[in-house]
Amino acid sequence: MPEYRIKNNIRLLRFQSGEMTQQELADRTNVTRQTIHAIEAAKYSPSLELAFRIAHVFEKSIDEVFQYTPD
Amino acid sequence: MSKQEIYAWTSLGFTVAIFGYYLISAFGLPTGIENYSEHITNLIWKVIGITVLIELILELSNSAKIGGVQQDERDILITSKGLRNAYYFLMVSIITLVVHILINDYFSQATGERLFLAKPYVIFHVLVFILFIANITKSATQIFYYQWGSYNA
Repeated sequence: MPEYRIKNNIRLLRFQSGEMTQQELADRTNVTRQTIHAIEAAKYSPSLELAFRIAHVFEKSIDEVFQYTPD
Repeated sequence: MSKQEIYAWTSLGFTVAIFGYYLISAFGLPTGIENYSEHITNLIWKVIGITVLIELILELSNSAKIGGVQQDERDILITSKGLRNAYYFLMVSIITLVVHILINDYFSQATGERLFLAKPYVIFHVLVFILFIANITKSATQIFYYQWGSYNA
């Protein structure tokens, strides 16, 4: 069975949102900049609530931001 | 580096320095490096001073609400992993020590002698070691997850 991993388009979406910085996204989702960096680098899998908050900032559905795909 | 990661580093530095100071005070320096005792003691005090200063700055910035969010879900998760590992270490060590003391009772009844680790002053030192190492385990675990990620933490 393949190992699944949560991937995301946050970096792409940030740049499509007027080159939003990690700090801006962090402030809007009430987390630290380091957490946004860790999520982007797939070093941290966010909680469902944080995933929704991030998707909400970009006005996207959660599956447009996060994908659960084989590694 | 997030504030919580800096706290983990300062906690590790402070604990190792105090542990080193305790070891030197209790047992003295190992043979061969007695001549450097002043240098080593100065180094320990410098580490303690720097870590206290850094923590003081962080606390001041926290109270002044500088630097955005102080702690988020990732910090809480990583802290809980650190506490879990420290707790495991603490429990295994304490249970091992208690079993050792119980075995010593049977041993002393049979031979009239005590095992080395069952002597009261040794038990005290072992307990202090366990507490220091548990704290080091907590900080080291936190640093590990901050540095190498907590995807499957």
